[in-house]
Amino acid sequence: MGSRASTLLRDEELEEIKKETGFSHSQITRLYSRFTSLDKGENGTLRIPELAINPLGDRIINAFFPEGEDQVNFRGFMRTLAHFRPIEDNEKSKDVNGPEPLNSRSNKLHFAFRLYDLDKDEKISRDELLQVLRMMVGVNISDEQLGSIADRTIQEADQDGDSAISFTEFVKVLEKVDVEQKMSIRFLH
Amino acid sequence: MSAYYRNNGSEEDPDYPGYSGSQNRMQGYLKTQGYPDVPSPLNNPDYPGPRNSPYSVASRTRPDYPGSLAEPNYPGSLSNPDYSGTRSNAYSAASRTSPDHPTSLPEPDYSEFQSHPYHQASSRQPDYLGSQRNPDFASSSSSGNYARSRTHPDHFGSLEPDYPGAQSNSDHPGPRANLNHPGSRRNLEHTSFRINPYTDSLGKPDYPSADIQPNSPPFFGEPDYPGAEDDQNLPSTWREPDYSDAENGHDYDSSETPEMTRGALSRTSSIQPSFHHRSDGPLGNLWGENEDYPEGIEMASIEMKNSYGHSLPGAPGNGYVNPAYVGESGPVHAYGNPPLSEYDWHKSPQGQKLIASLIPMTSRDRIKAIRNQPRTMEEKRNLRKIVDKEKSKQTHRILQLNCCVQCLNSISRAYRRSKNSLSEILNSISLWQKTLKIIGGKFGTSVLSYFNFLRWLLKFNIFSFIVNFSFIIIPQFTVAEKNTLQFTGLELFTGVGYFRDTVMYYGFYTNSTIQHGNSGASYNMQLAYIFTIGACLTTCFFSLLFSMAKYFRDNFINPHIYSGGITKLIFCWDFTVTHEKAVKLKQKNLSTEIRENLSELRQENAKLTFNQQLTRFSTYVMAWVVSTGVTIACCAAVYYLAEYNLEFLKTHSNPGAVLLLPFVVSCINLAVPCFYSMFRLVERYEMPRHEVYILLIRNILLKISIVGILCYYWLNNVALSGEECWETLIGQDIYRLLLMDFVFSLADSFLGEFLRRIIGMQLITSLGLPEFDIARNVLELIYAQTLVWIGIFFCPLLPLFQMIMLFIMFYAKNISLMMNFQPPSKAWRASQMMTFFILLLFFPSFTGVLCTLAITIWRLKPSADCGPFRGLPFFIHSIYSWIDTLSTRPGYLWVVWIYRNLIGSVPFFPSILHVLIITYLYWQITEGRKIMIRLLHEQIINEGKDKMFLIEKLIKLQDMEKKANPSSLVLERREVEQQDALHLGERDSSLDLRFRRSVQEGNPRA
Repeated sequence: MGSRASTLLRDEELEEIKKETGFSHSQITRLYSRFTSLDKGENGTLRIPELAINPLGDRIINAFFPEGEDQVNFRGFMRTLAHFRPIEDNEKSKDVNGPEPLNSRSNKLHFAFRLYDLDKDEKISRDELLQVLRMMVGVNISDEQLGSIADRTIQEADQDGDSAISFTEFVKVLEKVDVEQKMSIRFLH
Repeated sequence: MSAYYRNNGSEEDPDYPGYSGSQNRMQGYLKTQGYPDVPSPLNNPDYPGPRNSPYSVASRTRPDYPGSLAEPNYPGSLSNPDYSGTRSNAYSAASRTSPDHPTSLPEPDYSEFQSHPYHQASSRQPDYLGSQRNPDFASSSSSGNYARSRTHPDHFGSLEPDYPGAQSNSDHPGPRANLNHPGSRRNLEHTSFRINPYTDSLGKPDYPSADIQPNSPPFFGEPDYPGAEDDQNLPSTWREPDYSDAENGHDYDSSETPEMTRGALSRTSSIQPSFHHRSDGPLGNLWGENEDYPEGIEMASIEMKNSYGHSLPGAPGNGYVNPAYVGESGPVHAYGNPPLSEYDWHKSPQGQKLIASLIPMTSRDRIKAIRNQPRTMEEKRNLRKIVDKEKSKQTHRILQLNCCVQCLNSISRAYRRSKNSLSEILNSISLWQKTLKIIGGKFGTSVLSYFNFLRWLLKFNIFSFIVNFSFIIIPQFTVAEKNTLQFTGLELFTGVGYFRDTVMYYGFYTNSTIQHGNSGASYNMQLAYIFTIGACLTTCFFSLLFSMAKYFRDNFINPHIYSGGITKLIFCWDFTVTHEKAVKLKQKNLSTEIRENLSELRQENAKLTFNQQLTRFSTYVMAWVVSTGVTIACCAAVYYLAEYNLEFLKTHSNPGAVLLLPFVVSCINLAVPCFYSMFRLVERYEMPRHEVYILLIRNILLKISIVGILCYYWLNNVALSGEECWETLIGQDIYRLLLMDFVFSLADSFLGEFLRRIIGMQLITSLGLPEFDIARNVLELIYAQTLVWIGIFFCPLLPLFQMIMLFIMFYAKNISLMMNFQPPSKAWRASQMMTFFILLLFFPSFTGVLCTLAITIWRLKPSADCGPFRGLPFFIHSIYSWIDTLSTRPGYLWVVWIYRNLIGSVPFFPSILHVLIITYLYWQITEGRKIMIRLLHEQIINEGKDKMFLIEKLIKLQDMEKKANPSSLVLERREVEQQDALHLGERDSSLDLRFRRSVQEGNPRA
C-alpha cells in the first residue's frame, strides 16, 4: 500500500510535505492512499472517521478547503491534518529558530479559532458562536438558552468591548487549557 | 521509533531493486576510477583530485551525472567542515535538476567512499582484492604499496572508538547491498572474492572493528541474505570489501567517514537521504550522527532480506524511488538518536559517555535521564543495568556502606512499583466506574453526586463489617452454643425468634474469656466487643473528618478548576475523543454543563422589586413554619406510638405486630419528604442549589428528630423497662427499621417512581417526566447510615446488611433513574454537594450516634443475663476493671497512663467540641489558602506579562544591534567553524595514536 502510494507521490513533494507538516514518511504515504480513496465515491464527502463523528466535523472539513475553492490537493490536505498531529516530546526542544511547526500550540489554537470564525474576519461574532454552539450541543437546548450562553461567552471573553472575540482574546481564554492534548489525533505511524 | 523505521524498511522492498541497477553501473564506473586511484597515495586529500577525472569518465556514460559529481566538493570535505554544506548544494541541485536520473545520484555517493573497495572490485583481479585486505596479498596485487597503505588506514579506522563498530557496520549493509548486485551479475568477481582468505578474516585482528563490535557478525550472518543462497559465500566475501570501504573512508579523513557511511545508507535507499544528510548535518554533529549507523544497518539488512529476490533481477530504472528511505533519513533529528542496536550502543563512545555521566547522578535523576533517552525499553533496561553494575563496582571500591543505600534504593523502587500496581488494581476494581460515568453524562454532576455518596457509604460499611467480623464474630463462632430456636420465614423481617440466638445480636455474645487449648492465648470477649465497636466508630469518625477536609479543600482551594467559565467550555472541544458513543456522551455533558451555567446566569441577572421580595420572604417563613410543624407532629406521633407499642406487644402474640412501628416510621419518612418537595412550587427558589439545600435541611431535621425520638425511647423506656436482654430488643428494632426503610425505598424506586412516570406521561402530561430528587435520596442514605451506626453496638452484623442493601440500592436507583427520570431541567453545579452530604452525615448524624452510644455505655446498666457485659453496673466498667488489672502489671503502665490522662480525664463531649473546632479551623485555613492562591495566580499572570515585556525589549535591542553591526552573525558562524576545526584536530591526533596501535597489531599478523 505504502509503495503504491509512494509511486504516485513525487519524492520531492513528499519531502516537502514532510518538512512542512512533520509527519513521518509512512504516515504521509498512508494518508495519501486514504486521501486518494476519500472521494472515490463521487459523493463529495470526506470519510475520515476521526472527524466524521466530531460535531464540529463540518467546520473542520471546511477548513480543509482554502478560501474560495472547492477542492483541495494533497498538500493542503496534509497541511490541515498536520494541525492535529500530536506534539512529540522531542519536538519541543527541536529547532527553536525554525519556522513554527503546524502542530504547535499557537497554530492549533489558530486552527480552532478558525473553526468558530465562519466568515474569516478574525473575529468570532455572536451569530457565528451561536451557529457553532448549535453544532456542538445538538438539539437538547433551546435557541433562547443558547443565545444567552453565547452572550455570556462573549461577555466573558471579550476584553476590548467590540462584542466579538478576537484571536488574542480566544487565546487568553484557553490559556490554561491543554489544547495540545485536546487537539491531537493519533495518526498511525 | 525503531518499529517505525523497520516498517519503512520493509515497506519499500519493491523499490529496492533499483539499486542493483545503480550499483551495477557503479561498478563499471568504479573500474574507471580505480585506475587513477591506484597510483595515488591513499590517505591524502589529494586523492580526490585524481578521482575527479575518473568521475568525469564515468559521467561520460550519463550526461547528467557530471553535474552531480560532487567531486570538487569531495576534496573539500576532507579538510573542511564546510564540506557537507557545499556538497549538499551540489547534491540537492543534482537531485532536483535531474530527478529522471535517479540512478545517477546514488553513484556520487558511491564514488565518495566506495570507490576504493570498488577499485578492487573493478580491477577484477582477485589477487588485487586480496592484497588490499591483506598485506600478505599485497605483493600479489598490481600495486603493492597501495594495498598496504590501505590496510593500515583500515585498521585504524576500525579501531577508532569514535567510530565504533557502528560505523563500519553501517557501511556494510550499504556496500554489501551494492556488492550483491554486482555479485549476482558478475560471478567472476565473486569467485574472486570467495577465493580470498579474508572471508574468515572478518573477526580477526586485521579488522579489529569486527572485534570491537559484537554485532557486526549478526549483520553479516547468512540469514540476512536469505535470497542469496545461490552464492552462499558472498556475504562473507562482501564483508571485506565493505570493511575496506569504511576504512578507506577513514583514510581520507576521520571526519568524513560518517558522511560516507551516511552515503552508504543513502545509497541503499535513495538519493534523498544523502542529500538530506548533507544539508542538515553539519560536521559538528558528526558524532551524534554516528549513532545512526547501526540503525541504518538494521534497515539495510532488513531490506536486503526482503529485497534480495527482487534485487537480483535488478530493474535499474526505479532504483531511487525509495521514498521510505527518504522518510527515514529525512529528519536528521530522527537520525540523531535512533534506537541503536543495543549491543553496540553502550559500547560506543556516546554510550560510554552517557553511562559515565549517569553514574554520578542520584538514582532518581538517573532514572529520569535514562527514561528520556530515545531508545527502546529493552535498551533502556540494559543501559540501566550497565550503569548499576558500574555503580556497584565503584561503590564496592569505595565503601560497603553504600550497600545500605542500594538496599534502600531497591526498597524504594519496589515500594514505588507496588504503589503503582496497587493504585492500578484499585482503579480497576473500583466499583461501578463505568456506570457512574454514564450517569454523569446523562444526568449531570448533581445526580452523580448522589451515586458517589452511595458508593462512599458502601466502602464505609465494608470496612466496618470486616472489622466487626474479624474481631467479634469469628471469636464468638468458636464458642457458639447450639441454636435451638425455630426458623420461619418471617424472622427475616422481624429479626426476632431464630435470630435472637445468633451472632447477629448483642445478647448472644459471651462474657467469658475465650481460651483454646493450653496455649495461654486468651481472648477477652468483653474487651474485644467494646474495643472493636470503639475502633470502628473512631475510624469512621476520622475518615469522615478527613474526607470532609478533603472535599473542602477540593472545592475551595482551586475553585476556578471546577467552575471554569463558559468560554473555556465552549471553545475547547476535545478532539481526541473519537469514539462515537464518547462523543455523544461528551455532547450531552456539554449541554448539561451549559444549562448549569445558564441557571447561574439567570440567577445573577434576576432583580426583584421590594414587593416581590416581601412576598417571597413571607412564603419562605410560611414554608418553614409548616415544615417544622409537620416535623414536630411526626416526632410526637412516633414517640407515642412507640410507647404504646411496648404495652401493645405485651398483650399481643402475633409476631408480625412488631412491624407496626417501623412501618409507621417508614411511611412518615416516605410521605413527608414528598410533601416537603411540593413546597418548591410555592417557594420558587431561583437557584436550584438553594432549593436543594433547603429541602435537605428540612428533611434532615425530620429524619434526625425521628431517630432522636426513637433513641430517647430506646434509652429511656426500653433500657429501663427491666426487660430481659433489652440490648437485643433495641437491636431488633433497629434491624426492622432498617429493613423496612430499605423495602420502602425499593418499592418507591420501582413502583412510586414508575407510577409517577406513568402519571406524568399519560395522565397529566403537563407534569412531564419526574426529576431525580437528590435531596430526598441522599437523606434516605444518611438516615439508614445513622441507624446502622447506632445499631452497630446492639447488632454487630448490621454493616453487612447495610452493605447488601446499598449494593442492591445502587442498581435499583440506577435502573429507576434510567427508566423513569429525565435529566434535571434545573441543572445546577453540584461540585460542593458531596461536601454538604458528608457534613450532614458528620454533624447531626454521626455526632448524634456518638452521643447515644456514649450515654448507653456510660449511663446504662447492661442486662443481667445476656451479652458480654452481663453482671456489670455499667458497660464502661469493663474498661475500668481492665485498667485496674493492667495497673498491677508494670509492663502496661503506659496504657493506664494514657487512659487516665487522656481519655479518662477529658470529658467525652468536650472532645467532640474540640473536633468541631478543629474542623472549623481546617476550613478556615483552606479559606485562607483560597485567597492566597488567588493572589498567587494573579502574581503569576503579572510575572508572565513582565517576562513578555522584557523579552520584547530584548528582541528590540537585539534587532537594533544587528542593524548596527551586521557582521556579528558572520562572527558567530566563524566561531562555530572554529569549534569544528578543533574537533577535527582532536580527532586527528587520536587518529595518529590509533594508527600506531593498528600498526602494532597488524604486524604480528603480517
